[in-house]
Amino acid sequence: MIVGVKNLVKRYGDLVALDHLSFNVKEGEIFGLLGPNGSGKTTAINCILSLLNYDKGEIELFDKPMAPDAYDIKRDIGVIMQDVAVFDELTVYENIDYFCSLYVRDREKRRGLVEEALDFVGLKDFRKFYPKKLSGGLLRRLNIACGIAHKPRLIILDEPTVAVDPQSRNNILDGIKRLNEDGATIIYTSHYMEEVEQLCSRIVIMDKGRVIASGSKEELKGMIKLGEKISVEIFGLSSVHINQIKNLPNVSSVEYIDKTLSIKYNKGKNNLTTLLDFFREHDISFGRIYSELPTLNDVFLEITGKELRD
Amino acid sequence: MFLNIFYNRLKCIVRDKSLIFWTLVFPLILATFFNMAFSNLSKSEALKVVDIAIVDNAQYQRDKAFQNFVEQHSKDIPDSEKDIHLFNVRVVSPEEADRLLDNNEIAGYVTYGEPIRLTVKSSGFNQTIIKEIFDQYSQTVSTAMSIVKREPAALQNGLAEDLGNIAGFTREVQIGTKDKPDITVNYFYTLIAMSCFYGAFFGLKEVTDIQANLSKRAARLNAAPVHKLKVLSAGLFAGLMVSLAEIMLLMGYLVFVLKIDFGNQIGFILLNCLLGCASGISFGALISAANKKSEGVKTAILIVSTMAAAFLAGMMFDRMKYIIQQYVPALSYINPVALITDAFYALYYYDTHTRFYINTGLLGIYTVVFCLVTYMIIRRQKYDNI
Amino acid sequence: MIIFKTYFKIIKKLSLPLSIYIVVFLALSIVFSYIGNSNNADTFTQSKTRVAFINEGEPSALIQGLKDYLGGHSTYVDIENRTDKLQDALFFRDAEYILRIPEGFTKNFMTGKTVTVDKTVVSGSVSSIYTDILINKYFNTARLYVNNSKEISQEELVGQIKKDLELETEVILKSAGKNTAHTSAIVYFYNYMPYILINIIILGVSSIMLVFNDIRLRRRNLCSPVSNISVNSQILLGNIVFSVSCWAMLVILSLLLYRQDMFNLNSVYFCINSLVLTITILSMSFLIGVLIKSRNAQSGISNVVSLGMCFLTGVFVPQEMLSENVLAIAKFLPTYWYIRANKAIGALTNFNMENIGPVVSYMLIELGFAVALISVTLVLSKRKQLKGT
Repeated sequence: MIVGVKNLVKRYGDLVALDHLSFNVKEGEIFGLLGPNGSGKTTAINCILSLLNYDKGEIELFDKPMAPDAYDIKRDIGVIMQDVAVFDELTVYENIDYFCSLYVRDREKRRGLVEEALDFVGLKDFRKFYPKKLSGGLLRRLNIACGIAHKPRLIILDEPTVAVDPQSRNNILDGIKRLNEDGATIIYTSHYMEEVEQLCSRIVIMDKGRVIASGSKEELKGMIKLGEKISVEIFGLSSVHINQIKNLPNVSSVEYIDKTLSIKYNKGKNNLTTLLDFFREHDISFGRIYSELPTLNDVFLEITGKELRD
Repeated sequence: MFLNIFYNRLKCIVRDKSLIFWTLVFPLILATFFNMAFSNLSKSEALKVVDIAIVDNAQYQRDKAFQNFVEQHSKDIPDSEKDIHLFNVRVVSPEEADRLLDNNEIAGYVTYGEPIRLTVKSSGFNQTIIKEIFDQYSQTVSTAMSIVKREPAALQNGLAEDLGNIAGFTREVQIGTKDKPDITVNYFYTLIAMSCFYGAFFGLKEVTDIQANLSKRAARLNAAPVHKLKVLSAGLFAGLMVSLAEIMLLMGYLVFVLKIDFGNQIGFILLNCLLGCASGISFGALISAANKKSEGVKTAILIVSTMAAAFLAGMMFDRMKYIIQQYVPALSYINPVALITDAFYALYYYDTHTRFYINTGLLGIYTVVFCLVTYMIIRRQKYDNI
Repeated sequence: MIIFKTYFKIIKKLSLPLSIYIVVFLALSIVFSYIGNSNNADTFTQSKTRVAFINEGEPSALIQGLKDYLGGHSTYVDIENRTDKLQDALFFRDAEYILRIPEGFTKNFMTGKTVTVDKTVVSGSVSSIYTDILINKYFNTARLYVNNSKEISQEELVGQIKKDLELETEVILKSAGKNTAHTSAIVYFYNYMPYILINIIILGVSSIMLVFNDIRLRRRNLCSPVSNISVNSQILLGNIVFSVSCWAMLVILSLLLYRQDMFNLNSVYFCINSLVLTITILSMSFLIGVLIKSRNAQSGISNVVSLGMCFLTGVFVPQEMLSENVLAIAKFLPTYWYIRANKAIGALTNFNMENIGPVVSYMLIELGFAVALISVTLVLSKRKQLKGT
């Protein structure tokens, strides 16, 4: 096991930031920590890294207890924080070299690693630039390069894509996949469910410092009752018909707003066929029709009763 | 690894333009201003020839003795090692005398008569000297009369000759070996002391960059397999090197370009610079570690405390250091800027090193104390809050 | 007037540094106007030297007589007879004259031998020459008595000397006018004023210029349905209102500090002169605002400019104490003329054209600087616009 967190409790005064948080990260996975802003993701990361004091709980990395001076553990970790943390006075190359030098003493070996990292994030042409001269997206890439240059076994990325343009975001996400393919275990926190869905092999959903669900995305979606959502454009629909639709099999709720009929189904089969048959039977003409599978947002909504995004 | 961190910190410091401006360029500019503004300050104390006028009237024309007396004081005064004429005398009409006084061309004019009258526009040393000299004329006349009354024979025994024999009764001696101390050096000493203490900004920067609750960079550093104190000591050492190099540049400028006298005990001077920089850097480290306010607030604290300390050491008003030493001596032993200044002063002015050792010793103690307290604070490796 | 209002929202953010400057300035001007205000009373007062009197010989009537006599013309300071203490006192001018009577002085003097007392002074200073004159006078008179009258006792000698030296010249203090006695504190206040005016106006105006000259913001303003002229004139108006209110605040402070002494024509001229300087500083701040690119540069420039102008032109160190070379440079700085004008105003007793003429011409020179600075600024900012940066 790469990371083991057991019953972690962290309080800020009266506020309970982490409430008996437990999860495990296995070797080779891309582990997603998903939750809205303020759910405790960053606090959990900082506790794992032994930067923060916590009130209760156990943290193990690589099957060894984590401590501030557990340098043999720290050597195998790469950290990319939410905020860009580089030196304004050092160039792109010097920044990566500096942070890498904290892990790798050998100068020759380091040179190769820094070049590799530069190449990896696509900043080769910018090696002599000072961070101030880089655009937001490039700065993020530098931030990542500083964290991964020493080829860690475990890479922790805390919201690395906040306020990043789509192009850089894709570059970053592809990079993470490649790192994982090269053998690194990844912990990835985000409040963007699409990213987590696209990237992570296993996901823990957090809210108010607690784990509310965990598993692969398929498992998570399987946990909820919602099977699919079907939306139909209809110009006129009587309340009689609406009530009849409500009684169709598997239907859990029906809404008709602004000429759009939205139907939520519990898990079941042939929902669309049944609906189309119903329209034909009652001679209801309709426009566009489409069906959606549940998203992680729906999972979150069903468990907590609120949207993931604020 | 230590060397590598040291080298990187060196780069970070040297490339921080505003830091270099305030710790190097600003003191250089200030030194230039001081030099330009104070170059004449010592000279301004010196007596310049006083312009006076004598009203040309019948009594004046008649009295040869008085004329002689006036002439005598238009020449070098006795016992003065330099060619200082006391007065520059013009004999003019009363109207002209009034006009000259109105236009500030003379300090005063004398109307000879019984009694002698001096007309001036304001009080001051020049006017007082005119008065004293002309007092002397009436007084000598009075003395002669008293003597003749007492010993009528004196007139025959050379009293008249004696009267003309004005002797000097003072002899200039030196206290200590330093002749003619130049008061303006104190301004430059406080300036150096202030620059040493600006080293505090280096200390501030170094601690900010290793304390995870102060900066994001530091959080990254804390996740790395390096002992924090190793990074800090490499950083502080880099700060000390830069600070010391800057002081050497400033010192070189003061000594070789502005020709400020520091005495010639180079070893002691360097020791003082080193301790000054070290105390400044450790003070900055302490301020940075001791509170969690923003960097702007800490910079403000440093600027205000350094300025206040420099003020008390006499940077804005040279006599301030002496006043503090007279009335609140404890304060001058607490104030590191005053200690650095006073150590330079002691080297420049005293023949013994006692005072220098007291000053530098205290600086050393403060440096150690600042470092220890800083260590106690940052020794903690986890934070309650980031 | 939305931009005008924004202007003052930005200024409000600067209230902390601005108020620090004002408090420091107030403290300094109060301290200095009290320190520097001892002379120039209504009657003639003799100046006194600070003397350390050390008798290393035996006490005698002759020495006591000297001490009494000197005491009337000096302020005695008590300093321990230790080399370092005496050195300190002399260095910092706590004692301007250290007088030591050597052992056996009185005996030798009374027997007619050539003797001297030891002095340690700041060489060639006015105060030391003054004390020399007094001591020589005392002993010359004493010598006359000793040489020419047989067996005069020390007591009688001292009595005679005292009597002789009491004779004084009559001094007529030609009053320079009713106000001069009290204007000096006000002169100090107005002389120090450039320092704070330069600092706060540069700080305020350049902060605004940094904000509004920001290329992105300027483009946004250019795209808005407000004409460029309107934008610029609102900023200009804001700058003028800000600078003039800083000036007005200082004038009000001076009214509060020196209540009764402010109500005369001299003070009116002080106010006019400082307003003229305010305009000059405002135009200088425009120039600086165009030149600087970052906030870091801002405090550096305002410090260097304010300290430079104040040290070199007689704001901090009186012009009489500056060297010829420095004064030659100073003539190219507006504050030099401001100080000249202040000095002339302080000496004004008689407000005829002949006396006011120089004051007005100094002010015109200050305005000349303002015009020159504005022209340079306009040329530079035009260039900047053409370059599009």
